[in-house]
Amino acid sequence: MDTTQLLKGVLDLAVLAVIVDEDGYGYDIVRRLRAAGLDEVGDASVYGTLRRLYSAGALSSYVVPSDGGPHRKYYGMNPHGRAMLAEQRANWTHFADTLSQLLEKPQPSVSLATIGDNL
Amino acid sequence: MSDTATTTQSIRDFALAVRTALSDLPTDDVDELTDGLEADLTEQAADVEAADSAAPDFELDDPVAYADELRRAAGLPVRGTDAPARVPWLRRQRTRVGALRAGATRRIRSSAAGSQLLDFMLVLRPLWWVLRGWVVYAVAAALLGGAISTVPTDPLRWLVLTAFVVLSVQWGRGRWLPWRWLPGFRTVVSVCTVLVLPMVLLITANQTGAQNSAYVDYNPYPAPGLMQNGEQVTNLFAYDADGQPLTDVQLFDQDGRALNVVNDPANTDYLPQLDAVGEQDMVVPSLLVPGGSGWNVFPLRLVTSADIDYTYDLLGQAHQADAAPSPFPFAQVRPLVPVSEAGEPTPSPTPDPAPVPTPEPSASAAPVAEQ
Repeated sequence: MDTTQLLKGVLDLAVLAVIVDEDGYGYDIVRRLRAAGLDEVGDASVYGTLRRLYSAGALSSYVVPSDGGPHRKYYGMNPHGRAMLAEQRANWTHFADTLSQLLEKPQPSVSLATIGDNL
Repeated sequence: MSDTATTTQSIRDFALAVRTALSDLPTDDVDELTDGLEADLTEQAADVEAADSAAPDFELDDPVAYADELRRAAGLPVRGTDAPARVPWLRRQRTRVGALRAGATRRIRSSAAGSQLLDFMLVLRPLWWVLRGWVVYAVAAALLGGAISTVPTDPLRWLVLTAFVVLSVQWGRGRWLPWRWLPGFRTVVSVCTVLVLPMVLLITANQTGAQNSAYVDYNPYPAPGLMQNGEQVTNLFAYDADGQPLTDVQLFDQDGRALNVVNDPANTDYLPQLDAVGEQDMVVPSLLVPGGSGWNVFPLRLVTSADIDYTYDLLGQAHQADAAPSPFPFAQVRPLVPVSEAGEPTPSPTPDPAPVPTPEPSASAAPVAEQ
């Protein structure tokens, strides 16, 4: 299964989760996500998601000038973001549990005819 | 070293291209999306170099795709798939107006009479389209053409009017709207038309009225210079206190202006005057004032119809050489009576103000006027 499609639905949750303990700037967050195992996450997707979460009021933002180079825009959690993370985490857990149970159920065996069988 | 410099430059170019690809968004959105983009890309490039691996995601070759990914993730419309979120407020208003209109239509349609009225109005829509084209033409003519002419006066203006009307009708039919902003612009034009329409109609009514009255009042002859009871005065005759006729009397009005019987004394050679049998005589100015402006020296001289030269044109030419003193209407009039001799203050015993002699002018006047 294409994990990028799965990722799209939960990128908000993933971004909120990696930012909850420590503020970070765009690529920093990409790096955290990749370090966590989400190798296929696109940096532009993360930057766009950060911007959307910021617009929704879940993140606060501030600019830090870097030595000699271009400045960096940091994002940090705020109470609304924490609430959002808690809610989405609960949703995800519930959804994942449901799906796990679904997958763990013994599947009805499907008998497939194999070549050579005489039907 | 040079490698790093190249990378920096290419990152800068790439970031610029991404911003360009986002340029249809409000500046604030673009800034928020791309603030720190160079720093992020630079760091990412450094990471990739350090890892010395086949860079999985770091490709600087498609800024448009990158920009689209930014938009999608940020929940902004991707260019070309939706109406731009350029002016969200305007869009909100448009949606609201649309909803209001739909609601109003529903309410009107809810009654039979309202429904019929609406259908009737819909039939009249083409008329409105034409009217809109005409009003836009009138406004354009007023703004660009200087003179306010709501009705074209020459072929070029007719052409322009036709163009505006055709455009307006096509807009009304939903055609000729190649750009996305045009329907909104059409609404603006319509609203302005409604606002300006009364003024344009008023101006047109005034112009038509003025034209009509101009035709009615059109008169090839110049307005008369001196009037009495609505009739033109062509000559004046003065008598002294004894009732004797005077010649070469110079008259002036209350403002000291020469009392002329013509409008433009310097440029008028003669003034037509009908005699007793309807023949047209010509009154000419006195020669005693140089420059032909002796129009206030009375009595003016006369060229009789017999002496007028019709050889060269139908209006005829009067020559000063043919002019003769005008005959006085009365050889003499009643002498004036001093108040002290008038006696009783009772009304005059002879209420008849008419002059004593009966008019037999030319004979008796002739000896007096000899110039």
